[in-house]
Amino acid sequence: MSLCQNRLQEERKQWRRDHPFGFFAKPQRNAQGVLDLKKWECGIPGKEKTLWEGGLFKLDVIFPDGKFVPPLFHPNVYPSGTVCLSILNEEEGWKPAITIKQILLGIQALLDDPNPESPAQAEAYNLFKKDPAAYERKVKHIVKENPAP
Amino acid sequence: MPHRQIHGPQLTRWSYFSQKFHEKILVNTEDAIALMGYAFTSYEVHDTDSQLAQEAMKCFQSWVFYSHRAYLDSDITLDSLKSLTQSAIQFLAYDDLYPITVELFTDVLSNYSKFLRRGDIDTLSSVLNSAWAQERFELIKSGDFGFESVQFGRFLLAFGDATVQDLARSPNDPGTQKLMSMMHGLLACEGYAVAEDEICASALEFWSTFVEFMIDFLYAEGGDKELWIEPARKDILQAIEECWAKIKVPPREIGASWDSESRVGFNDFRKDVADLLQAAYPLLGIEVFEKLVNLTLRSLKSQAWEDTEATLFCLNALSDCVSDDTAEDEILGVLFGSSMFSQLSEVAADIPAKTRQTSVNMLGHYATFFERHTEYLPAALTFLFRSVEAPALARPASRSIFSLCSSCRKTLTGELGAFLEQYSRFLTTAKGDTKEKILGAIASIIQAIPNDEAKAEPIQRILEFVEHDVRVCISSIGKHELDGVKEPAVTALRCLTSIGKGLQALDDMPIELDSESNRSTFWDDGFGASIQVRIIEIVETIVEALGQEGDVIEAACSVFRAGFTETAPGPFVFPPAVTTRFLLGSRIDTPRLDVMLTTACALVNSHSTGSSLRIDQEAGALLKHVSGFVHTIGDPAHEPDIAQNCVDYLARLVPRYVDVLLGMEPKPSLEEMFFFALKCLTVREPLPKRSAASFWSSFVTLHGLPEPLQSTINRIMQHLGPLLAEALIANIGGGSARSELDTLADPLKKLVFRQPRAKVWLESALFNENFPSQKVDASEKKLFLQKVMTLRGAKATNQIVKDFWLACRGTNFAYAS
Repeated sequence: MSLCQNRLQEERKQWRRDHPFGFFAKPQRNAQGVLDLKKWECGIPGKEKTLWEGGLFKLDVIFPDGKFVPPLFHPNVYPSGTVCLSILNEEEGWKPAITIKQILLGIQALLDDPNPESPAQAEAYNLFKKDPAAYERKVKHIVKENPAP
Repeated sequence: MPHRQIHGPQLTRWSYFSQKFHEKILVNTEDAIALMGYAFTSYEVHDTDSQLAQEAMKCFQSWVFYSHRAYLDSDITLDSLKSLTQSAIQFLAYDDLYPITVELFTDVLSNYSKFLRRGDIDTLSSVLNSAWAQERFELIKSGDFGFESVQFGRFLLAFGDATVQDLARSPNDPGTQKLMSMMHGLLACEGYAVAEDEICASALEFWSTFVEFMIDFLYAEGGDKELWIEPARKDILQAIEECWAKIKVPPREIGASWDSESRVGFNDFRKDVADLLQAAYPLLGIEVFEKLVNLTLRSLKSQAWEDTEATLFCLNALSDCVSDDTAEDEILGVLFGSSMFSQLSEVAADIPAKTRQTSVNMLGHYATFFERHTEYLPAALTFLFRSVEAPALARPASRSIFSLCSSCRKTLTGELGAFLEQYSRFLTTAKGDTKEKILGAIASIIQAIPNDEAKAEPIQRILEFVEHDVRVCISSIGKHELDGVKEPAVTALRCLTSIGKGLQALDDMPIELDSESNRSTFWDDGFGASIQVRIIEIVETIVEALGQEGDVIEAACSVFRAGFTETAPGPFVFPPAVTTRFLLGSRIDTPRLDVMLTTACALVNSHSTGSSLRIDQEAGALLKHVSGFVHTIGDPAHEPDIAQNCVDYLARLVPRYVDVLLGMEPKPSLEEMFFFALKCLTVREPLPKRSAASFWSSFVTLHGLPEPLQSTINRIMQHLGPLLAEALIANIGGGSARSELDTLADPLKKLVFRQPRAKVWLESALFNENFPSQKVDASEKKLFLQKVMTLRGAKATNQIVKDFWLACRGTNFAYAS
């Protein structure tokens, strides 16, 4: 088993032991049912007491990138659904040592606190800047479309 | 010895320490061991005051943690420390020492099981097989979740986790069997998962590890698989049954009394059980599937609704795992052919909402089964349509209806009349998104009708529903608050979009390549055209009344876009002139103007592929319209979002409509647009800059076009090339944000590759007085230019650009890359 796989195996263990409420993260399985530890299927719940509360957003983490499936309406998410993990820590950039838990908590925080310096899609970014009320309505609509169970 | 604290090395567990530090500590090891050993023996043999022994145990804990650190940092193993382990294990049975001892061993087993020797593991195993352990186990099993009890549970699980391979490999060993039965027991303690039972989530973790180990083993080469696999399968099946009992939802009054943490925790547990099931499926196969279906049938019979829910939940979890094998289909057929749907749709029965909801979700999960076995569809759909009427189920039921109708559209065309009837029943009560989904579902069935003429009638029927909603909405303008009118208006438009999407041809349908000659004209000038007119009228009526609302504009644009991806004519594939007419209605103060412009881009895009119809006239009219916006804005920084969309539109015209672009009159307006696109490269906002970079990348690449087009392009480049180079260098020379460099490197690469005079232009820009940085000297600039030119547009240019940018920003700008 390669070093990377080892680290990810440990990551999987850590996640199982201690993961934040409402999140899920599991390595994907190939056709034979064997885990592919570089590809994780994750779910990020909207934080309580924010616009995003009540929603659950699916994200594929393919180290070291994240991709919302389907693409998410959010200023920092590219039209393809990709979210650059470097945005979570602009000062230092993404480090291989960052854990899946940190990534997901970081993205959860980003949901309600977009970084206007780093727009990724025009649709959400423009609405966020120009018409906050319409932006809020749209987010609420999206939360309804992606309800947490 | 006075009762003083014995100190172990004080350190943070996860910090790194140098070799020197470790050497300093190591010299104390032997003394410390002697001291701790003394304390342990005094207590064990002479039964002295326990405080000393407690301190010694804390000290031992610190030393063990330290030895883990020393091992990780410098590969140092403190073997002599292990001489105390056996004594320490004995203290588990001493009440005074239990809390600290159990904490130590739980931690060692979880994180550093290497520390334990074979003999230690055996001793721990016999401790766990003792009457002492049995007593503790019974306590937690009966629902004692006090601190010490949970501590014991975690200890037990940590032991299981550390020895999972041994457990799997020795199924017939009595010790293993005893331990495994306790592992089962921890999944089956009294109380609701997480809300009350604090150990089952950790127990589930153990079982997931066990399953994972078995799966890895299953696919590994060689070994004596047969011996272990069968007992392991049995254990896993049993664990799943235990989980099944734990995921049953509580009665409403109990659930309502939980705080949000308990609720979320309980749901998380259910999700983890679903995970376990999916993971175990390759090992258990059809047996577990059949078991679950039988369980459902039994619980339906006895009207045990919580049981039914739990089982359906498990079956839903398996929907992605089961293949379309006949065997599995047969089992599903038994379930879907049973009285399940009629039982669950009985309004009078006291069925929990969650049970109905999970069964509704199930139909969406197994949509492909119904595709293969359409005989079960009518009962399923009737059930769903009944469910839609219950407010709590409307959303999931309408989703499942959409999913089923879309998957099984071909077989449902005969049922259209009944569907339309069903829809009209709840037209007045249904919420917006439910309507959207169901109209989309009906539209997808209409799509499956093979001939266009026959589609017209049902389409008219569903349009009537929308028209009815629109009439109600428009007539209430002025009578209600604006929000009360806007919402149904937006819903009506969204319903249209949903219908449009439902009518889209499926991706996997064959495309008739020679269809151009016998292409149906039904939607262009036949009766179908009048249907298109009706759709447009709905959109226009709403926009006319409520066009000042951004959400309305956005929803209207979506209606037009629903037909853009179609390759054959259809009711939503409007003539480009009609779409253009709508788009030309926008003004600089139109709300959500950016969405109008994006729609214009999408229109051009959909007519830019090789075989698509050219729309020169419309593209030209829209270009003029866009140039009006450009003129009004002047500086892109004033309206960055509009600026971005305007430049995006220019980019879409290249290459197919570049003649339309360059043919635009009057020429000063054209020139204004090119300068605008240059200015966008130098604004602070990233999005206009990104669009401009993309426009210039494609524009500088144009070559080999027919004359006089190519000469015009060359002339423009002669004129604008130096300015483009200047704008790019201003960014790369430190002006842009780091994250924009890849985007900006693109036009630079194209420029170098395609434009013979690129070197002169870039050189002049580098040595221009406007160059933004003082931190690089002439030789560095020359070196940069030389490298970029040598690479001739190769990918490595991106790195050169990044390095140069960093140099221009100065070395103080630290950024880990």
